[in-house]
Amino acid sequence: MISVNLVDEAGVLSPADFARLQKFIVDRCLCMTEALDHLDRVKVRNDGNSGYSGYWTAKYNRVGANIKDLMAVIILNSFYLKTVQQMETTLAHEFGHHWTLGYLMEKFELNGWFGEPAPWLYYRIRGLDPAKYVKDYSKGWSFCDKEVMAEDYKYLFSPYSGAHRMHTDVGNPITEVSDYIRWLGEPSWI
Amino acid sequence: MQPMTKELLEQLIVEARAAGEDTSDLENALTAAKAVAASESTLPFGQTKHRDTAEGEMVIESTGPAREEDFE
Repeated sequence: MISVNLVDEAGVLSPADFARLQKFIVDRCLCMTEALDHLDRVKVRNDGNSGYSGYWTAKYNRVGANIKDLMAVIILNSFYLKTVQQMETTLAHEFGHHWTLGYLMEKFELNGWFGEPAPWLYYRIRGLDPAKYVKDYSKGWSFCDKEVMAEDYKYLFSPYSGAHRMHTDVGNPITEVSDYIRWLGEPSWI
Repeated sequence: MQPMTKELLEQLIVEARAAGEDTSDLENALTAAKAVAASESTLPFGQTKHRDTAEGEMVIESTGPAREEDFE
């Protein structure tokens, strides 16, 4: 059985909820085994009143022009996330980062995920104004193109499709965006 | 990264209460959020960390904080 490596450091999950969360990405989201190979673990941890419910982080070794030993970790903050449904909602967004940023690194050979904007084709089909949306967090969370992509993934490829956090500004993603994200998936990781 | 907002916090409290969870810590956080306007500028968005190694360079890129201990 394929599942994520889930670590409940906070000790808050019942056995049933642990099993449910462990299988959530594989059973209920768009996922391929290849992407899971580089997702080292998902940690449920109490980070306190930190201002975030979760984040995606990745570590690699840069040797000359090559990138080696890439591994990613997703943190779910149990201070805010009290139910397994809430954890799944955040996990869907964070796995959206894993899916899309994995592709960007591999296909576009980016020199850092936040050093360059998302591909122009994505901006065009998503209707993002390049004067408003940027490669990083310099204009705030809502205007980081990578965060829009992660929300698109959650909206399109998880059961939690009713809450795209940028919809008031850019609307919900259309079919072309779904096709794009599905296509850019299938990452053959480094 | 999923930043917390007052609206989202209120929603989480409603959902957690409905599920029978203790929400006292979230209610305290909500009170603090109302007293002090939340500012995204204080959140650890998109941090990176670099460290030279014998082989090359270790890099951490995060949508939130960049912490080596996350990988331990």
